[in-house]
Amino acid sequence: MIHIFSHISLFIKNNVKQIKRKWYLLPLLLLFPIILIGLIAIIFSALFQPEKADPIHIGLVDLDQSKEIQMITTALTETNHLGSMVKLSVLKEHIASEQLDDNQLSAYVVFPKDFTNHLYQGKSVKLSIVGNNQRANEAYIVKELMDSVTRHINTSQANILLLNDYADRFGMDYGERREYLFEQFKSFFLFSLSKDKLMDEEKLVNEATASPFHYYTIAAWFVSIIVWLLLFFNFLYKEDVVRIKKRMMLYGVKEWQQILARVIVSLFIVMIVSALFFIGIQRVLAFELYVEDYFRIGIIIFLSSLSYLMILSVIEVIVTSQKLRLLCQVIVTGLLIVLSGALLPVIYFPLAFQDVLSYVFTTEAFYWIQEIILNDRFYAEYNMLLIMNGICLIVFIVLSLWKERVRA
Amino acid sequence: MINIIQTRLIQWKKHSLQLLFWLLFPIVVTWIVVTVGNTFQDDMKIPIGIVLQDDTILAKDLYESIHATPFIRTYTLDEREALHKLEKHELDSVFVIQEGYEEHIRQGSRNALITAYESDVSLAYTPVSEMIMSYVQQDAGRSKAAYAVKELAEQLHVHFDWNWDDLIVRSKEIEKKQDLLQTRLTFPGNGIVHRDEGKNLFQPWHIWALAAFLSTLLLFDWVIKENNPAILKRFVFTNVSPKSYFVRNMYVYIALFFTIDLLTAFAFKYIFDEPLSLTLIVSILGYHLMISLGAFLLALMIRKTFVYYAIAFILTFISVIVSGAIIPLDGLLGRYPWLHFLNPLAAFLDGDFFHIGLGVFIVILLLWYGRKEEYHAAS
Repeated sequence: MIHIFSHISLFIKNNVKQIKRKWYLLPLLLLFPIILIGLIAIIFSALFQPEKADPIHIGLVDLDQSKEIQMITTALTETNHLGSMVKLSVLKEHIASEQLDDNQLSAYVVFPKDFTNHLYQGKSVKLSIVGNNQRANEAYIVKELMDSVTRHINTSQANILLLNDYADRFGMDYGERREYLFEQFKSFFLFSLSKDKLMDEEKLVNEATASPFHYYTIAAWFVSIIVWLLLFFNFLYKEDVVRIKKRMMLYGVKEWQQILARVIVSLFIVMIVSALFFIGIQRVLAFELYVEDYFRIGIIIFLSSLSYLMILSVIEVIVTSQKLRLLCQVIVTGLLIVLSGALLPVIYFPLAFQDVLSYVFTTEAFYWIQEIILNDRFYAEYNMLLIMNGICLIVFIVLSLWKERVRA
Repeated sequence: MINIIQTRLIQWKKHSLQLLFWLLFPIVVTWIVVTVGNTFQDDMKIPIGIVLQDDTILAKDLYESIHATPFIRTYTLDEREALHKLEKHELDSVFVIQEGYEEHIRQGSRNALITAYESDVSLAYTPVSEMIMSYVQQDAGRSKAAYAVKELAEQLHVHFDWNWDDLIVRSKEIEKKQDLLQTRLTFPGNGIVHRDEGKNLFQPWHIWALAAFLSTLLLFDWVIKENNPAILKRFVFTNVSPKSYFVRNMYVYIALFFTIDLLTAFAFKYIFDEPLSLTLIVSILGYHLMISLGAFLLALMIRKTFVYYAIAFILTFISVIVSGAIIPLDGLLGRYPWLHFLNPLAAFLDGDFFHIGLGVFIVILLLWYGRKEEYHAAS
C-alpha cells in the first residue's frame, strides 16, 4: 500500500518536472480555450450585429406588373415596416441577377407572372427567392421576411376569395368587382401590417444577472475548464518505450498509478487556473456570492472535473491506439460539452435528448452552477456527481486490474 | 515504384483494419453527423407557456393551432405558474389569451387580445410571437371579411341574411381548400455546398471535408514512424534515397485517397442525393491533394507521433470553426475578406480546384526535395 502511494507521488513529481521543462508551452495551453472561445464569440457577435451602416439589399423583380404588386412593393419600400436594416429596390430580372453576382444584393424576390390573377382565383402561387451564396445568412433573413409577408397575404387571400364569391353572388360585374377586390386587397394588406397591436408585449426581467451575456460567460468558463483538463491530461502523457515499460513492470509500477498521477496533477493545476479565471469573471460581471457559494461551486467543479478525468483515464486504459484514443476522448468531450447546455440551453433540446440528460454529469454540474450564480440558489445537490465519481473510479480500477492480469 | 507499392501493400495488410477505419472515417462521420443533426433539428422545439383565460371555442381553436405548430412545444398553465417558470428559464416565453378573446374578435376590435411575456434570455421569442400573431390575425381577418360582406350587401342594396358564424365557416372552408402562397429559397452558383432550404442542417460535403482533414493528417503518421535514424540508415544499402522513398510513398497514399474519394462522391449521391459533377470531383481532388501535401510536410517536421496527433486534432478543431461549419461566417467575411484564405476549406466549398495553400505546399515540397540529402552525404 505504501508502495502505491510512493509510486504515485514519484510520478507526480515527475509530471511537475515535465511541466517545468516545457514551461513555455503552458501559456499556450492556458490560452488555447480562451482564444478559441473568444474567436467563437467574435463570430457570434458579427452574426447577430450585421454592419449597421450596410443594410440588407433586396431586389424585387416584378414579372406580373399588376396594381396589387405595385401596391405591395410601395407599401414595403415606403413604410418602415421592415425597419431600417432593409433596403428594397425594384429591378429587372437580369439586372437583379447581375447585381447578385456582384455581391450587391443579398437576395432578390421574383413575383411570377399572373401572380395576382392566380391569387384571386385561388390558385397556388410560388414566390421564389434567389439568395446570394456569399451572404447566405442575410438571404435567410430575407426568406424569413418574405415568409412573414406571404403569411399576411395568405390570410388576406382566403378573405378576398370570400368577398369575390359574395360580390359575384350579389351581382357585381367583372370590372367593378376587380376594382372592389383591389380596394379590399389593399385594405387587408394594410390591416395585416398593423398586426403588432394584437399583442401586448411585456418583458420579464427577474434578476440583474440573468442576461444571455452572463449565461454565456459562465458557459465559457465551464467549457474552458473541460478543455483545459483535456489538454493537461494529454500534455502530461508520455510515450514509454517498451524497454522502459518492462523495467517499470519489474519494479512493480502499474500503468494506472501513472494515469492517476496525471489525473491528480491536471486536476490541481486546472482547479487553480479556473479559480483565478472565475475571480476575473466575477470582477467583470459583478454578481454577489456568499462564502458558502464559493465552496459549493468549488465542490461542483472538483467533482465534475474528477469524473471527467476518470472517464478520460478509462478511455486511455481501453483504447491502446493513440489515434483512436484521442478521437474517443475528443468525441466524449464534445458530447459532454454539447449536452451540458453550455452551448444551447437545455430547454430547447428535443425531448428525447432531455430524458438522457439526467444521466449526464456535466449537465447536472452546469445546472447547479447556473442556479447558484444566476438564480441565487442557496443550495446544491452533489449526489449525482458523487455517484458518477464512484462509478468511474470502480470502472477504472476494475479495468486496470483486469488489463494488468491479462498482460501478466 | 513497383517495389514501393509492394512494400506498402505488405505493410497495409498488417494494419488493414486500422487503415480501413481511417479511410472510411470521413464517410461514416458525415453520415452520423448529418443524420443526428437532422433529427435534432426536426425534434428541436421551443417550450412556451399558454395561459387560456378565455373559455370560448375560438380561443380553444387558437390554442390548438399553436399546439399543432411543428416548432413549438406548448404547456398550458395558469398565469402565476407560467410566469414563475419563465423567470426560472424553463420556458422561452408565455402567451396569455385574454378573457373576452372571442367577444373582441366578433366585434372586430383587435387591441391587446394576447399578452406576451418574454424574459431577457428568450432566444426564440420573435419567431414564436410572429407565428401566434399570424394565427390571431387570421381570426381577426375573417371577422373583418364577414363585416365587409355585410357592408357590401348594404352598399348594393341586396337583401342578405347576414350571420357572422356562417361567414367564418365559409372563409375557413375556402382557406382549407387552397394551399395558396409559398416561398422557396434557392442559391445559384456552382459551390459544393447546397444550402437550399428544407435540406440538411449540416452540409454533407462540408462535414466530409473536415473529417477528411483529420483522417488524412492521422494517416500520414507513417512519415514519422519511418523517419527515424534506425530506419534511415538502411537506405544506404538500397538504391532509393530517403527523400524519394517518402515522396513516392506519398504518391501511393494520395492515389489511395483519390480512389476512396471517387467512391465517396458516388456514395453521397445515393445517400444524401448530392449532385455529382466534374467540378465536384475536380475540387475534391484539389482539396485532398492540398491537405495530403500539408500533412506530409507537417509530419516531416515532427519527431513524436503523439505530438503530431495532438496537432492534427487541434488543427482540425480550428478548421471546424474557421470554415463556418457550426457558426456561419458571413458577417465576418464581409468585414475581413482575407479570412477566406485562412480557411483551408474555402476553395473546396466554392467548387474551385486551387487553394493558395496548395501552391505554398508545392513550393515548399520542391524546395525540400531540391536540398541535398543528409543521409547519403553523411554515410
